[in-house]
Amino acid sequence: MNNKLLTTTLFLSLATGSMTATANDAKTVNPEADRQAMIKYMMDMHGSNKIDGKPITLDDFGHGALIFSDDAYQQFKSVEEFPPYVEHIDEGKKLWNKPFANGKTYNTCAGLNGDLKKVKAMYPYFDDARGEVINLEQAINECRTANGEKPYAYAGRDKELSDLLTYLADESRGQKISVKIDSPGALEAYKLGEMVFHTRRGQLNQSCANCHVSSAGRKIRSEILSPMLGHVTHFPVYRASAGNIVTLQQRYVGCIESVRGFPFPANGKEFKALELYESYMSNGLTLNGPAYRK
Amino acid sequence: MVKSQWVSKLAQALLVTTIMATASVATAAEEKKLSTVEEGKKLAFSNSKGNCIACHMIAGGEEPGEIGPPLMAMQARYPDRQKLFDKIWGKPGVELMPESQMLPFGKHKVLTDDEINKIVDFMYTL
Ligand code: HEC
Ligand code: HEC
Repeated sequence: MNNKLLTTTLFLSLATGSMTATANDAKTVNPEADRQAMIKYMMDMHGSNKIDGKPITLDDFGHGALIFSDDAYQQFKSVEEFPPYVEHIDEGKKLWNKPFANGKTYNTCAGLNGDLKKVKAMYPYFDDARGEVINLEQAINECRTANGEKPYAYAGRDKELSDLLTYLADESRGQKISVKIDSPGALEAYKLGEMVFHTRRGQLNQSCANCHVSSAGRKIRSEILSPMLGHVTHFPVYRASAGNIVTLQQRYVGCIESVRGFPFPANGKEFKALELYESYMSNGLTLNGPAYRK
Repeated sequence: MVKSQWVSKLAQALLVTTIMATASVATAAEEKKLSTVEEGKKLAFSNSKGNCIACHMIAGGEEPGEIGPPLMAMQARYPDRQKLFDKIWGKPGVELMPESQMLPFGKHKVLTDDEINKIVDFMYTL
């Protein structure tokens, strides 16, 4: 076990570059230290950027690549006044309140039955009893199967699920991300997510960190790369170019395909771990989804 | 007289043909040279091939990315052609930075050696 830990960490240090290598001492993985190091790196690199005439705050990272262009940010703000994704929120709301064949609704399921404003912010979390990461889409699907309904396909393949996520994101606006890594199982999942994030993959040999840590703020072709900090706050996003809702996992799939890699199975262990890792790094940031993107 | 006229005509014709032949050989060689540069440029700019422009500023390319350094004065900076080839191919040990985001185009079979050679021809015009 200790040996395995050591090899994983060594592998990680090799694969991830100096920043994480120093954060990950050979014996201990310290998510909190990783997070602080990431914040420091991002603030050192981009903290002097200005939007609305003011230097950006940590919370502004929730706006993704918009923090690098005040023009794009202003355009985003004006679009937000009459957001084009409203119909998806409305559709999601209808689906949320529509009784299943057995007459029950989502808010009768454990994990979904609390204060609606706080539902999304509970996810993702590591369930010790079940030994796996549970995210919001999985909770929705488990509620469906428990009530005799068919589960939805993950990663944007079912529009109804995307609309439900859009509605819950909108309800949760203003809540803070607070993911806990407080058990050995959770730590393992965190480490898997970290590895997925930092491992180069695909024929084009790029890691998430290459594009969203080292090169964040720079243009790839004509697109400015968003920083990983804040990635999860605003999902799902409405993509104007496609005219549809894109879920977080759908984006993960898209990014892996863009480097000619093979995406992990939808809502499988790796993607849920990646979501856990990215969410943990964004702890304390405000949920501000759904968001408009060009 | 008639005969000599004919001879001189023939000589002229031969001369012209030879000149033309030489000229056309030269043009063909030049065309070939030009076309590897042109092909290299196409490969470097194409989305599905090199897509170098996604990360590098390159003269003549629109909407360049900013991930890698501008590619300019390449012949002066890489007088050893093999070094430039190796850099693009992704030979171990030629990275400028250990965590370089530069793609190993040959190693990962994104481009063939022949394609990389054409890109190097193009790079030498920058
Ligand atoms: C070759 C570059 C590249 C790689 C590698 C890459 N991405 Fe991306 N990613 C992009 C681009 C370009 C965009 C669109 C611009 C933006 O918002 O960053 C994007 C967008 C995103 C977004 C949406 C940001 C927003 O605010 O809408 C997320 C989340 C994301 N990527 C996560 C990942 C993860 C996780 C990985 C690894 C599995 C990854 N990316 C790998 C290029 C990349
Ligand atoms: C995903 C981004 C990316 C793409 C695509 C890319 N490069 Fe690079 N390239 C880089 C980075 C980053 C560096 C700087 C680090 C290094 O030298 O390894 C670099 C460095 C280089 C260098 C060395 C530059 C110098 O100043 O010595 C050359 C030459 C080069 N690239 C050529 C190419 C060619 C040719 C292509 C396309 C066939 C290409 N690159 C595509 C990111 C990229």
